[in-house]
Amino acid sequence: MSIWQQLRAGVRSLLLHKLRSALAVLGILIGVTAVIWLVAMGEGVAIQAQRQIEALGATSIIVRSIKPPSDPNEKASDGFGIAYGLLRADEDRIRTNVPGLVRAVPLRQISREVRCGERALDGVVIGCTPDYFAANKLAIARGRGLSDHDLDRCDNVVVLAHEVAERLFPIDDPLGAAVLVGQEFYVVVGVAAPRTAAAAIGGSLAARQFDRDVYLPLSTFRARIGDRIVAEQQGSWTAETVELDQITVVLADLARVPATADMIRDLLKRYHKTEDYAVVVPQELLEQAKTVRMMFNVLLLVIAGISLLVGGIGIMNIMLATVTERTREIGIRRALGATRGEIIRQFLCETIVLSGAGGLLGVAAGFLCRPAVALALRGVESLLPRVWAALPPDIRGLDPPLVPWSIAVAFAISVGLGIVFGLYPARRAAALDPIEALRHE
Amino acid sequence: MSEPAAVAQGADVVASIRDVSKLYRLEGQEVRALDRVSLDLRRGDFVAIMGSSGSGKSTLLNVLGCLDRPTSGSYVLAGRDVARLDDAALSRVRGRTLGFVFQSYNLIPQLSVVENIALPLAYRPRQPGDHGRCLALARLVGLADRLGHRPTQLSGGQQQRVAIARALVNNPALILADEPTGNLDTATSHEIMDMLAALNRAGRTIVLVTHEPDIAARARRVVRLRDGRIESVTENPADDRESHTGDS
Repeated sequence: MSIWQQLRAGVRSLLLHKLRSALAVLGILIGVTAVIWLVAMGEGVAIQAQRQIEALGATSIIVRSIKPPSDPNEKASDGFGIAYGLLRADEDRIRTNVPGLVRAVPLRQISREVRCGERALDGVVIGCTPDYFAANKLAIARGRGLSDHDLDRCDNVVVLAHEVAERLFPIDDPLGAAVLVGQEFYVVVGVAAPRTAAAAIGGSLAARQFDRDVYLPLSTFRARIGDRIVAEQQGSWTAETVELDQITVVLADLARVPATADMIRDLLKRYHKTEDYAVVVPQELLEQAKTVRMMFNVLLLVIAGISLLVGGIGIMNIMLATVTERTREIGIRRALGATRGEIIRQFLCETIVLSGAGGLLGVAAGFLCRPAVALALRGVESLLPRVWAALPPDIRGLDPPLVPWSIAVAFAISVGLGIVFGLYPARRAAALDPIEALRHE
Repeated sequence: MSEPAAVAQGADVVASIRDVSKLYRLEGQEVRALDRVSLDLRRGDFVAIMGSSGSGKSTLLNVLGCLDRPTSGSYVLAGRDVARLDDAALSRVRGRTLGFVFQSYNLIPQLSVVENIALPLAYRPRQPGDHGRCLALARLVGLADRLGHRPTQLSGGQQQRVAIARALVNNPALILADEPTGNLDTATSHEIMDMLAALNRAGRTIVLVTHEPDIAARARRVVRLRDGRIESVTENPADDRESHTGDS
């Protein structure tokens, strides 16, 4: 009998018990779908994480100030409040000592109210150099960015983030207008283009948002706001002196990133008594993310494998029942000339039809992953807004791509399972003594 | 359907068993189902095997049908010694040189009439005239108008006719019928026997196991078994074998 005829005969035999066959197919379908969906979701999450890390720049090293745990015995360096973090001297040291440096971008950051007439919002005031915009892939939508000239003259100029400009100037043209940042007036010279949030860096898990930023020249920040920030907290006054909050070091060569990061750590260690800084290497995060992603994928495959295994056991169960039920048919076929091998082939064919059908339907269901996830997310967003808000952004923006190898693997495994789990029932069928089988009622 | 009558004495013997014994071990006790049985079947022979249950007639049929191997003795079928063949080779012999008709018809329920007839052909290389042959046999047994029917849609007599057509499809050297009328009423039994007798007249060699004397009377020879031995072999006179319904 040709394979084609055998497959057709298999389908016919399976159609004798439609429900039973359908349930066996369902078991495999669920297994295959699970493989494809889980791999797709794992991939979707991984892509999100990777994209965020890449947004930080693979060739950059980020050095940030960290407030050390308060030590009551230690005298504040300034006699009032505490001083910590990166120094302007650190920036110079990095500039002079790090080879292959493209740019070092220092910045200062503080929260201040930003006001224009009646409209106000809690803004993040960032003192930076013109390089900051390039380093963070921030484009200028209107007007101009900060210039070296601004820095030299300590001008009271400001560039607004897109969202800030929209909030403060819903109708009017912001360019040339004056905004109140803290207690000082600044002239708006430019508006940045919209920019999505970047990944968290350092110890904080919150993504870096750009939508409340106002950008001042670093020198203006120092002159108008100063290094020492005094704040009232629970009735008592505290002061913090920070020269720089962050230095982003951008290198020309990706390969030099790990060595340079170590070098910067050494350099800073020499001048800082306490570790009031952190060196974050996005590339290391990227590597970490890849490892995590691989572990994640393995875990998902194990889960999916278990569901496939269960499907396979279901098929075996059904084929064993079929063999018992069709003992007489086996006897007839043996009497009419079928060898053991031909009986094995017949029953294997039937299990492969079952598992192959499950595999094909599973792949079809696998294609539904993306729309199904999109639908589910939209459902949560509109029906359970509180749950939605609690979801991490990685999940909220999940768009699971169909991974081609997962389809091939899932389908191959399903057919393979048919063979593995069909072999035992088929061998049992073939091992029957034809005389006994013919006598079977 | 018709074959040239063999003239040569040696080529005339289709199946020959010599001193065949079959021993079973049942709960530690040795049971001798066949005890040095010898039997020759000539081309065109029509032998009825009779005997009470336990006489060894089923065992003899199983040995003749290559479903079972004798413990000792030789069995030459269509010029080939088959007593010591392995399972796969015996399967091939069954598929190519034997035709089976069973008491309970043994058709495969999910297959149609024509597919059941064609079943033995599935286990040998395909040949060009196969399908036409199946149709011709269906016509021969009077079921040309029921080719697509399932066995469950047919009467017992019709099912047995399908089984006879199936037994002929591989042009066997020997047809083995195991109580072919056991499940049928008298009229249908004679119909089936008429069909077998007609096939015998056309040159087919047939072995029939039965315990009904009037069925055995339709054969040319009657072999009686008792305790695993051949008790007697009797020739039936030709006029006794005439059909009772006479439709052949």
